[in-house]
Amino acid sequence: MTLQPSNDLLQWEAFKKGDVDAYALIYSENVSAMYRFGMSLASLSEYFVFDCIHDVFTEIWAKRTTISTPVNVKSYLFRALKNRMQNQILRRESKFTHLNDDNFDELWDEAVTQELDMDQFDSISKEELIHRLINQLPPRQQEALRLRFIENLEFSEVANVMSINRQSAQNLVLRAVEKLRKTLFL
Amino acid sequence: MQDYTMFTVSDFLMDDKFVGQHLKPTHESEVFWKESNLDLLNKDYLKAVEILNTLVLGMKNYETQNLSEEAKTFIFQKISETNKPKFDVFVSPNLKIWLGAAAVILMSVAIYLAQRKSIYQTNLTHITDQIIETKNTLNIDMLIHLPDGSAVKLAPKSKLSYPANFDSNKRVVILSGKATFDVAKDASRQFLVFANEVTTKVLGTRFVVNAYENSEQVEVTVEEGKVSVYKNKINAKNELTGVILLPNQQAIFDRQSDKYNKNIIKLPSIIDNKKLTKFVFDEDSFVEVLQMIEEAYGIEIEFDEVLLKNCQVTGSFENESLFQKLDILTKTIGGSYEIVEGKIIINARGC
Repeated sequence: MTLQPSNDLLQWEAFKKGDVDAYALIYSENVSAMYRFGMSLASLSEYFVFDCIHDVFTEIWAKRTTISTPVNVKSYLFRALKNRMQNQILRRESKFTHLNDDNFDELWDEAVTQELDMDQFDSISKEELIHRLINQLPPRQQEALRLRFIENLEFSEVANVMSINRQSAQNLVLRAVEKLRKTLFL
Repeated sequence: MQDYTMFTVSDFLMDDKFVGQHLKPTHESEVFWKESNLDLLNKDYLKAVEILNTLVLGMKNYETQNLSEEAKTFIFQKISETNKPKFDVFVSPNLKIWLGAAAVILMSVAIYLAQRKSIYQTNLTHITDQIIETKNTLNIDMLIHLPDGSAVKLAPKSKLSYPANFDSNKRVVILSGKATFDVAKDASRQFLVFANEVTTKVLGTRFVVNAYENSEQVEVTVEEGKVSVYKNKINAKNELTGVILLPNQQAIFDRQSDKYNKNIIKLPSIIDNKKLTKFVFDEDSFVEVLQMIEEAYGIEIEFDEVLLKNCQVTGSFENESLFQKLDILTKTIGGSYEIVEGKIIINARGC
């Protein structure tokens, strides 16, 4: 089973030849997902994400004749967006030393989950409860969950977007799932 | 084909085909799972489905965070504008600030320059009568006849101002740029050329003044007669700081250092053809040949007559320039020459 309709690749080929309609279609089919993914990475400002989306699409247009056809258009665009956002943020905050993602996962306070008042379980909806639990997971676990279970990217594509290997991507999801099962007695 | 019967809950959740089937089933994926021989009531399978549904539910607010149609259109318009072929140069915001600053500075400089009186304007005060100004905007020399019968060949991008009628005691013209003057002889009236900081004074002669306002030097070259060159009276404390030029000599006034350099032009011409009587020499006196050249070119040649009196020259001149002739002559006696203050000095030990 391929997650990617061969349609995508035909569109991409047409776009590479300068077909503006194909280009517009690639945009409209992916922009909404790119937007929510971008906002989940850095909800600094909606306009920052707009700008980065703009940059990704104008850059692929400028380089259309030289870029290769990606295996998966969506994950290609996600990765491009993430890179663009990270570069822009780094440029703005280059004065500061950045923690790498691994540091960040270690620093994440495991105890936060415990603070969630179990007595309130009944007063809030199941959806809200799970939402809160997921929000308290380390950001990279959340990112992996979103990419795999909402964006429907295969683990190899999740790994590609996150610049890690497939096993690492699976481990991130696995840790998140185990945490939720423990907390929710699933 | 995977053996799904042995799969744990986690195994299912780590399986792309399982997740894909439950997120977005396709005809292909339906067929795949039907053929997998998996008991769909398998406990672990059902648990995995439940967890997957829970995860999706928990991320519903992420999933539904959609971009408005207006925003979609807005961004695409911006993208299309950027993609339009451009002919102008991309200017970064930082560069824009610098360009802005540069523009302010340039404007200040322009205002300063506009307010500052040019040296040409200052020189114009030397003319008391009605001023006639001629500008050469063409790319060839322009011939101007002055009221006294003198002729001026004005080079391109140059301008000359002169009075409608010259004074009774002097003739004053103001130059910016380059011009060759052929001055009518008039012993009672000096002819004065004001060009940048330099004044050239003559009675009657032919000379070139090269004084563009933006060049670093003022050059005065004499072709015929005798001229004196000095700094403008307005600027100089006394006019004695000038130089006297003879034909084939040139005065270069450096505007920065305020100094003169008297020189011989690169290709001196023969002033008096009659003096150049001999071209072929056979044991001729070296001193006599030098004196002949001195008179023919009108350039002073200094040498030790006593030291060189025994030297002889054998050979011939053809179309050599002055400096080529001097080269040949001095080499035959194992000497050399140099140019100092518009004069030629011969260095030799004698023969």
